[in-house]
Amino acid sequence: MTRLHSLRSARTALTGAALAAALAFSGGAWAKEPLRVAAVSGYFSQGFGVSIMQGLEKAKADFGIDLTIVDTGNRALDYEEQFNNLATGDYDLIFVMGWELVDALQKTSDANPEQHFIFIDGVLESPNMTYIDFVEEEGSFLVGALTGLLTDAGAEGFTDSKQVGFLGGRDIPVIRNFLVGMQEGVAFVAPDVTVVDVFAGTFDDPAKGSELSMALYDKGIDVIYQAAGPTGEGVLQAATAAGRLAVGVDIDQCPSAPGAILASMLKRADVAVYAMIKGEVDGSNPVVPGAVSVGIASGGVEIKVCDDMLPRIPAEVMTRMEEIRAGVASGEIAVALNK
Amino acid sequence: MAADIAADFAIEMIGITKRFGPLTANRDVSFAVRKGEIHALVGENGAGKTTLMNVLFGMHLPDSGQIKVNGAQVEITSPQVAIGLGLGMVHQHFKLVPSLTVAENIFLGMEIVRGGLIDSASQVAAVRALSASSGLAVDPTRVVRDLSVGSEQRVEILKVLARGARIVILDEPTAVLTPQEGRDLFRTLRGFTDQGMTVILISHHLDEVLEVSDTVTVLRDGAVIGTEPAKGLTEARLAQMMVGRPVDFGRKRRDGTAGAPVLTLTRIHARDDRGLPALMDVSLTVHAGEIVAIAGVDGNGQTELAEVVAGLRGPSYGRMNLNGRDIAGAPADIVRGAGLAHVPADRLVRGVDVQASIMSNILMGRQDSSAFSKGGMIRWGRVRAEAAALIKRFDIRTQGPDASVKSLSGGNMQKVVLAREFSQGKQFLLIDQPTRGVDIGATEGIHDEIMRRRAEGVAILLISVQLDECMKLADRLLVMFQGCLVAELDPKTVTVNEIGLHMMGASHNRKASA
Amino acid sequence: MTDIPLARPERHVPVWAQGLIGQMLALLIALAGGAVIIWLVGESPLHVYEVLLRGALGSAENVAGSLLQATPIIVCGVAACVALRGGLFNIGVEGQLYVGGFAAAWVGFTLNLPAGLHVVVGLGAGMLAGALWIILPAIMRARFNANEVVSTILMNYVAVLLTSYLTIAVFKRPGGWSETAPIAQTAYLPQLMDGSRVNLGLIIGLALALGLYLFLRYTGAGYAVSTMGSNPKFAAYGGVRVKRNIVAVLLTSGAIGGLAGGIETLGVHRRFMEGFAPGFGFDGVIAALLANGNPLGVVVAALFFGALRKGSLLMEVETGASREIITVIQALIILCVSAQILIRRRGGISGEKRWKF
Repeated sequence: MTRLHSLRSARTALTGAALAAALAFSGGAWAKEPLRVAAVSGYFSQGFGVSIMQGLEKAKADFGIDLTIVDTGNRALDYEEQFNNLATGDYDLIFVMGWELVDALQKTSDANPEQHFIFIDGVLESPNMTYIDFVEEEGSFLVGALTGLLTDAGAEGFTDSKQVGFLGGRDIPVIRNFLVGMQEGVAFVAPDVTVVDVFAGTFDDPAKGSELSMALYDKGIDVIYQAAGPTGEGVLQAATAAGRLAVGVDIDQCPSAPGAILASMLKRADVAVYAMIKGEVDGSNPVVPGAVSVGIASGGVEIKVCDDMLPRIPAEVMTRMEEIRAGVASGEIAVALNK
Repeated sequence: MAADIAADFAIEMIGITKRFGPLTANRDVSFAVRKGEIHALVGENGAGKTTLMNVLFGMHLPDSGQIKVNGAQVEITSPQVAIGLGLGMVHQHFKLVPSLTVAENIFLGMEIVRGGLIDSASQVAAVRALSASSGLAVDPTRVVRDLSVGSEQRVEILKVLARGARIVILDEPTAVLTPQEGRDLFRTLRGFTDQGMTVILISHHLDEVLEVSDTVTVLRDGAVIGTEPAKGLTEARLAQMMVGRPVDFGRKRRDGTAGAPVLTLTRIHARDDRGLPALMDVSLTVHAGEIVAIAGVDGNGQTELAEVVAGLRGPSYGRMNLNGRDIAGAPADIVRGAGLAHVPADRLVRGVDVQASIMSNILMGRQDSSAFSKGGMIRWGRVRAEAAALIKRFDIRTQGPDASVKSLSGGNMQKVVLAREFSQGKQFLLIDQPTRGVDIGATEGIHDEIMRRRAEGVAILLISVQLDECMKLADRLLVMFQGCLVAELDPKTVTVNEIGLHMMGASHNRKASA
Repeated sequence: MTDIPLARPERHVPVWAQGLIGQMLALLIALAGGAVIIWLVGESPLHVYEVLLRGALGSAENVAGSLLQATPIIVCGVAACVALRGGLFNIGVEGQLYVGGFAAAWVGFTLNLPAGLHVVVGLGAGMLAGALWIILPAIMRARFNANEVVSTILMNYVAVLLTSYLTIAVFKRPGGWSETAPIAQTAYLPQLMDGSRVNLGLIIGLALALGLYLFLRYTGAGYAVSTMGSNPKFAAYGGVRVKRNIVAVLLTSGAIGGLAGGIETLGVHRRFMEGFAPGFGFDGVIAALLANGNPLGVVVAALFFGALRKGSLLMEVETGASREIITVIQALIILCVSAQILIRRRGGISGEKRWKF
């Protein structure tokens, strides 16, 4: 858990800064009471949750917000009580991440319509809440384009199998978005390349992820894009073991399996969360109910090619990718949803 | 005689007091054993014999008093210390590892090692030598599992000798032996004292105490009643010292004609827990007003026979009839319904629930009867009244029906079982080892109670490893050997020797009895 | 010769009072141990315990929340208790909870029945599923003396994975998280008050505990079962059909475990979802052990556990102590209570064990 550890030490180091920030701003009218922010999820120690934590910590350091983290665990019975405790706890903003929390969240939100709940990574049918909706299909589109281009170019590590792989956690709408984005991206640049997809059925089983990706690699697939939480970590391990490639997701996973990870599709939750808190704190962009889409254009979604892979990528591919990225950002290239 | 040698003591225990909570197990006990004698320590259960020996062997520390071994004052804080002083104890329940050989058991924990490996050859040779010098014949290479009880005991004694014991304590050594084996043992013990060793014998078989020992010390209620040379003592005198009042030793048999058959077993076969044949072709009949005793060395199928009759073990073949009802393979509740009352051998395991109250124990087997239950609900008021009545009638020493059985002494626990089983007016009584672990005073009471049932016309099947008990009570005596009934004898005329030979299988001609 | 004083009269404390004093002491020691750990993570133990107490009992809503948490533990505790009193260990309550919960939900979202009847059929299906789930361990125990501890634990894994599979692969609500479609309104187990999810399950649990207590104490069958539990050889000797009773006891225990699941799905979640009640089965087993098999004691232990759980939720929000501290405190309690039971047993004259641990 080196990641968690470094996070801890970062937190301690930042306390001083937060204090300084609070003092610095104490003259401002809005800073008399620090903004009270809570964040609720069962996944703060992994993947996407780590990214959210980074944004929150940065906001705490910069704006001196008062931050409470609630780990939901896996007990469905508790969710409602946890939301109620927060709703009656006088918080300005409450960030929520995790689909299993939706029912309890909606119930609490209905009972406390004044409370600002911000649901990260999805859109619900509730008028009181704010939603951070990552346009993951845009990022996935870029992943598809990159893997398609490299397959066609026969870059180092790519055979002539004309197949790329996708491994999803569960077959749920969010994960489907990743798959569809990738399929469209591949089709956009290389119609002869197909995407072989498989769903592990779980987000919590790295061993299963590893096993399934080994099977894909055995079929001759060169690269697997995974959107499967901890299950996906098994894919990265398998890539190292098989000497093949994988694409990371949500956060920069390049360091977790050097030499085996081509790129990471980043959902910059940290950017999105930070921006939202900033808008609330300085009043420039207060939080209002409704969806906030965060895609390629706003920098909330991006693709990062791992540094050690850069030499492998032909210059023309890089150029082409830059064009596609700009096209997606401007809306010139429309990425269709699976809906 | 050993007593003449000198006032040279192997063991002197002076003013030993040992308390367990409110209970004083040994009260200012002084006990001295001369070198080279066989000294018997007798007393009823709970008189404090075992506690005293445990103190001597370092398993309990006395609250006060001192101990001298060979004249030197010592502090025995653990069995290891006791062994270091040349003491050795042979427990009533053997502590051998069944899967190891005799030699391996004897050298367990003190193996002869050569080059990091156990030197089996040397161990076997050492056991042979020890066996020859002590007169305890065993084959060192055999696995203990396959030995007879007598041989196991010899292994236990050899184990003690191998550890250099010069003072040997034996706790109830004859309880598991045939009369012949018992006499062999005594001959061996006499051999020990001839070699200058000292033997302490714990027993409550008065005849053998008088036969084998030089000196007898009697304990009662944790205190010494007296230490006397065996020569001048009689069984009656000894019993009186132990119990505190005269005891009747006469044969209980009375005349009276047996009635109709109550229990009939026809060609019963059964298997033991391991699936091996335990009963073979057993046929017998018990009539009303008759006591049929089954004698035999423990472990020859008596346990399985009792279980089959009580409905706790299904026979693999054969017919059983109780009061005209076919009970072969029927469960215990059906057999009980047909007229069985059962006093089991292992009382603390099977006869009572020690955790529960006396009342609750008295109820067992009748929880669904109309006397104690109505519409599925137990009538605890009636149960309590019944328990109170039985406590009075059977003189159970307790605070009352609500007291837990755990709080009773062993003899009173036995009385709870007897009270429950004897008071139900059943026509057939299965009694397995009625006086095992019971002292002389209580034994007498139990025997009287059994004879009273006989006079009432109850058919009684008595299983006992105590020959004197069988001879004293039985109208007919059957001998069991290796799962077969090998002889039917008339207890009025038969001698102990003759029964002993049958028990050893001397007449193993598989005679089926009436 | 010195005079040996006779045994001093002992101070007489009734056995039940000794037990109570022992339990209270164990509890205090456990809380003290928890305080040390809270202090080690840099929080004030006093403050944390204050928040814990307030979170559990500070308001009517909080008390209701504690009762809500305690409900499944009570029912699971009674399930474990039935087996325990018969001398058997049903460590599979967790699994029965899962299959029972799923079966009840299935009835809820599949069948079309009038209100009332729908609930009864749903809970019945839960009980049936729970009983079926233990039938194999029960038969193997009765016939081959196969250790039920191992077999029921193994069945837990199967139950959790099977219901998970059924939820994800067969009955998943379209577009939803891993959960089934919601049950029909007719299958709702009525809630006891507005604003809280505390439902009829609490009353069912309390009634079951009281019923079990009375059954064991006053009926012939209960006598047979509890005697079998404390000494099976004695029971067999006295004519109790032990094998038959083993199966009956385990099936009953399993059915109650299944009922606990049904109560949770029909009364609280109103659908089946993965992780709908993780750990309640084990909590129930622990409550039964702590209560030493006394059904009324199970209720007390379950209420305590429920309050701990509820209090911990506020503790997490208001203090820096993690909710997992509660798990540590709970473990400490178990440790201390078992230790004091052992100490009291060893102190007694008889070394017999009541339960075969």
